[in-house]
Amino acid sequence: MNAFELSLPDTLADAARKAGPNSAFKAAGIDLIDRLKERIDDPETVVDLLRLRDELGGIQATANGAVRLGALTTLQELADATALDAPGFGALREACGEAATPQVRARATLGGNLLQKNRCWYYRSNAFSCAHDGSGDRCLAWHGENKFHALFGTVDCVRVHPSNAAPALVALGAEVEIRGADADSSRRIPIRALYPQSPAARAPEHVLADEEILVAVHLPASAAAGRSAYRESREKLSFDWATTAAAAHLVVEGGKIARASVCLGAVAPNPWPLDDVAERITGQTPSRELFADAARRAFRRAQPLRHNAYKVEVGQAILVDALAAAAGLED
Amino acid sequence: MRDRDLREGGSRPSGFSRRSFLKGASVAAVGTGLATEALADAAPTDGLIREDGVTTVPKGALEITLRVNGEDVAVTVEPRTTLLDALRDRAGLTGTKKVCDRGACGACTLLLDGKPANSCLTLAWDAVGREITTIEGLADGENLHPVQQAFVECDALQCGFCTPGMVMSSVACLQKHATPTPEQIRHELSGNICRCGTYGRVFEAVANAAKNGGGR
Amino acid sequence: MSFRRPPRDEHTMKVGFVGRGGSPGVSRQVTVDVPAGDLTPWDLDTKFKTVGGRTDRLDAVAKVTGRAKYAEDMRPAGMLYGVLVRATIPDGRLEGLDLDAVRGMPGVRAAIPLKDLGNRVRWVGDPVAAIAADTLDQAYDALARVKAEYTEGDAPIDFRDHENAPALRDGVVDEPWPSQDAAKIEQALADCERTAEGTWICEVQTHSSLEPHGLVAHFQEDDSLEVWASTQAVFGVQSGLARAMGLQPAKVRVHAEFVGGGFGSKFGPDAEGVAAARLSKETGRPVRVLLSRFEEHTCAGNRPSAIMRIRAGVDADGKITAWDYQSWGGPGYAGRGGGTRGVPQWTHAAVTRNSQSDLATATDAGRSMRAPGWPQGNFATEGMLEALASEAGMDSLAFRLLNDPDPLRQMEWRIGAERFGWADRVNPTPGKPREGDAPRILRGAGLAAAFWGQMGRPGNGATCRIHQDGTVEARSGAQDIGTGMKTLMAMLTAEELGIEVAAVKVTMGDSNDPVGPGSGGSTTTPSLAPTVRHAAGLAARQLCERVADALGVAPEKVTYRDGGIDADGKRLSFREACRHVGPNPIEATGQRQRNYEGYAEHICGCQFAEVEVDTHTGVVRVTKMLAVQDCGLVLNEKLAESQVIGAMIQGLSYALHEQRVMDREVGRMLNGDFLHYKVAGPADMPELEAIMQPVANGMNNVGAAGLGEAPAVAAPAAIANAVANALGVPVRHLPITPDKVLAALAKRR
Repeated sequence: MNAFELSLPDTLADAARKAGPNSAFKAAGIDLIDRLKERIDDPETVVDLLRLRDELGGIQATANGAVRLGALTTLQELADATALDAPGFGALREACGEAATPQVRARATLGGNLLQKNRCWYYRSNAFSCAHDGSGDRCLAWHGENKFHALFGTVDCVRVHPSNAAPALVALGAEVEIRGADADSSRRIPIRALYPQSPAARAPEHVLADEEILVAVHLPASAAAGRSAYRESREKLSFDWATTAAAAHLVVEGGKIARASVCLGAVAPNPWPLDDVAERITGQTPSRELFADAARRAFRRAQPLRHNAYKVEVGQAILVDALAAAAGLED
Repeated sequence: MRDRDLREGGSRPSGFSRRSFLKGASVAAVGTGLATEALADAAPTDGLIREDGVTTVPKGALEITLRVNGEDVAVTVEPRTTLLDALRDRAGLTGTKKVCDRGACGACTLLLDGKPANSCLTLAWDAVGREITTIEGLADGENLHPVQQAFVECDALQCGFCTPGMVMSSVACLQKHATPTPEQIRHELSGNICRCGTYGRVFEAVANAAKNGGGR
Repeated sequence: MSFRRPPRDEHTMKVGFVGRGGSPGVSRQVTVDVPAGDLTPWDLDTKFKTVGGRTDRLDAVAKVTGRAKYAEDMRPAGMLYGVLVRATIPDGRLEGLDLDAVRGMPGVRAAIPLKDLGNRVRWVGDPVAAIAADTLDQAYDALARVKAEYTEGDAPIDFRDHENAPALRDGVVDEPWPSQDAAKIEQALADCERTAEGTWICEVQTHSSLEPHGLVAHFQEDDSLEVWASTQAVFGVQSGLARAMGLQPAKVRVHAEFVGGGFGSKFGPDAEGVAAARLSKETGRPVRVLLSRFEEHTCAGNRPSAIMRIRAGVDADGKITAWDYQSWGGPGYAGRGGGTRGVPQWTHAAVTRNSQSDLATATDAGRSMRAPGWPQGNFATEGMLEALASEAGMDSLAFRLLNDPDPLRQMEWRIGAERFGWADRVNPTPGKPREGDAPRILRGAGLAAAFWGQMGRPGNGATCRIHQDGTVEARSGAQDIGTGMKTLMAMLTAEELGIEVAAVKVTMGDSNDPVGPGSGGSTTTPSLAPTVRHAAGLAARQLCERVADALGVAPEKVTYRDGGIDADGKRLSFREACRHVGPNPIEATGQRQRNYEGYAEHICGCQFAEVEVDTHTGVVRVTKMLAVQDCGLVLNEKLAESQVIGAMIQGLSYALHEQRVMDREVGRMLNGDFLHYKVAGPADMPELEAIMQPVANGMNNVGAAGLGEAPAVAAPAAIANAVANALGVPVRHLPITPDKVLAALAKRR
């Protein structure tokens, strides 16, 4: 790690004021400290948010069934949250409960998980040039070692978004609450909009400006309905990154799928929503055959690289599993 | 001919200017109060920079007080010093091991306010005002914690280098599940790597410890 | 009393093993040539009090409390942190090195070159310079500022790109077989009833010892050097540092009381150890250099990659009659050490040909790793046995029983198959789901043989001290890297003296104590155990002499028996006898005699594995593993089981997960961490069981043999065979990751 100064703001407003191009916000620091150790980031100032529990913590369920998740809520707290007991929230709890390790889940925050940087091994090494961070003009993974890289949505960089929670929250139609430089500039945007539309190499991994802080995630009341599920495949069961992940939220009424929302993880630079799959299965009777057909169609657009073609098959399987679990189908 | 995209010199330009070490006065922070509260009382000569609403710890080393195993321990750390390095290199508490230094192996696991944490991914400053329990604080004198005792009896170790972290994760497991199922044991230990391959013995040890009040 | 008096050259003893599980044992009288002065060898009829039991590991309490101090934990006053500047290119020459810029940086105390300008750079990580600073962060700050310049060569990164590498098509060697000695093997193959042919590939595995390589060095004012090293060879580090620093070995004292794993990679001081010593000399301060995890993966050796091609055949009865084995190893820049081999006994009745080439690359050099070359070769060998069994229309186990010439392993196959439930677990219709499983799940079972030499060696000492308070010390300068050698020393001493283990204090890992072996090749136990026992026996004889003197009894009327002394009709307990020791303790130094010509030169063993494969995701889970393993006399059953299970787990990790991923252009490892270098963890564990099979091998006065390597030979092969049994098609490329499983299934369809 390069040396930095550590700013401990009293309030969110103070934190926002302290932010700038040479600063980095830190919650638990799980991802940031890793990047600092690799010396791929070297902020002059690290602005600590971890102590702002009053403003950034807590899980609050509202009377109408919506739930507000403070950005400092840990993944373990989410996995265990009784406020998320409804089967509709299942995907989020499963995604958080399977993420990383018990030690990481106990400290890693929801905000940090959503805003973490990608895990491309070229980007994460300060020895390699990288189109994403601007130290090079082309993506070395594209023609290099890319077994764990992207299938979809790549422009000129094949990184994947590593968050477990993000695809679940996309499937649940969550919104994120963002605070700007001053309290008036707060805004709420759909979580999809947290990630850039066109994830080119030079695009940042999220749309927050330097001084903006992710304050909370809002789950709409509609997310509590029905059932959602998160499934991922990874090479190891103990701590590993998903090779592909899928979150699905289904509301089944009268034997038909009344509402569907689906999102993949670890296959694209952003969480990868599958609205066409959702549309195709809505109104249908849930079955593995239906889901398999939808998954096949969804992955027809995949653009595998030299070493990651297997993810097409794995991704379809995981997507079907997530949909089947959300539909309550037995194996 | 091989690719020449390697960065010159192997690392990026850094552009920071190091300040000299600051040997500040002790920034005492005891009890469970958050650091900012503790810091608010610190005298302006402590090396910290106070400006409206923000306390800044400058680059360079300052003395802080950590609460480790029920005792106050003064350590001199930079903002970038991890809790792991503070304990091992500054406080002489070397039971907590450094192995991967990236939160992937669990060897540096300790309890922070009772919950398992990778001390390699925790800044020392973030531990100010929090209760830190390390492997050294588990036994009651010569009386081993039931988890430690079970590790000995089940031979749940070989070279022993993963053992402190494995023991701490096992303690955390039993605090969460007083009588864990085999699946729960595997799940709660899955942040720890053992290269000698003692996992099977560790599972036995955790199950035995549960029977002997390890989740006390 | 087991001391032999008068010394004789020949001793008749009973060797072999007791039959078990309905299988016959083997027992026979052999006459061995016991060197004068050695103890009466333990044999098949010996009854033990302590040895063979399940004594707790002696240093377990120190390890579970964090009190155990490893080299990584040493913090002598005034210690500096050293780091190495390493080459950033894989091949070329060092043309420029500027250390001046770092010398004035905060905390930096020394910066010294390690490589001269113009010298060759051999891999990304080749040491170029070393820096010492007050803190590790400061040392890394300085490291980031060093400027080095290189001219680049173009040596290959991947051994498959070497000019002599075989052409591969679809993973199969696609080139003619070499012509030497062709006629005989071709004829043998032509004479076979059925033949098979295949190519197997293994990727690079890193040792991944949890404690990094390196040491803390302290040059004293009298020009002596004291070091605390993470090593599996205390005396290798001593001699290596002495040579590198131009010191007499006696001036170098090495400590290694606790060692956090080695697995074959920690035999000398290596570049980091020498750098620490030089930095300490330069600064007059203790200096530690212990590697980072990235350096561990990239600069501390590895198990090399390999390509293996086998052609083999069986006669009409299913007996192997032709075996043609060729292998290409990728040992990195060292250019040698990439050899592979499988259990050799299968080819006892076959015409065989073996050939081996090493293919050098501009990558970190391979080092010995737990049964070097064998897990790779056995993966191929056992894969070929499966292919032949299939050709012969035989069950895997039946094929092994038909072809295995060793009566010990014959029994082990049977014990294991029964306990594992082989008949029920093997998939009778490979590639088809078992009854009761979901259609997407394929389940199968596999097995493989283990093998290793006995390998204990003479040339070691150990001391035994007896104090007047009845306590005993056993000392060896060798190290305990986690095998439990300290515990074994206490048990052997206690057994020989007939006292409690708790009365014995063991000290290991100090070069001031008697010379012991480096822990490689499964030699520590068979080398030290007879030595330790010898020392205890000699000490008992001295105790008799002191008692004789004290009581005024003729020495020949005093004998040691059952933990006490008979002195001319008077019986003294050990403690009573010790009162006559006086203030100066008894000290005896045992010697390791050469091996006797015992019952068997090798150890056997076998393993069974069951897997389940999700055919939709390609993920393989091992659900059950069982080993039956011999190692001569089993000194501590609990610790022996631990070591065998450990080898099974390492083998699982190698078979399914571990692979060094290199960028093939730049030669830099991409997964040089534990985030993407995948070591199997708790959630990946099957049900594991190890059954120890005692054997009286007649090789030395204890009958001890090594244990570290043999079980490591079998595990990956057994898992790979289980995968093949599940899928109905083998995956002949380790690690067996989902992409390869799915590709194999696609090929089958």
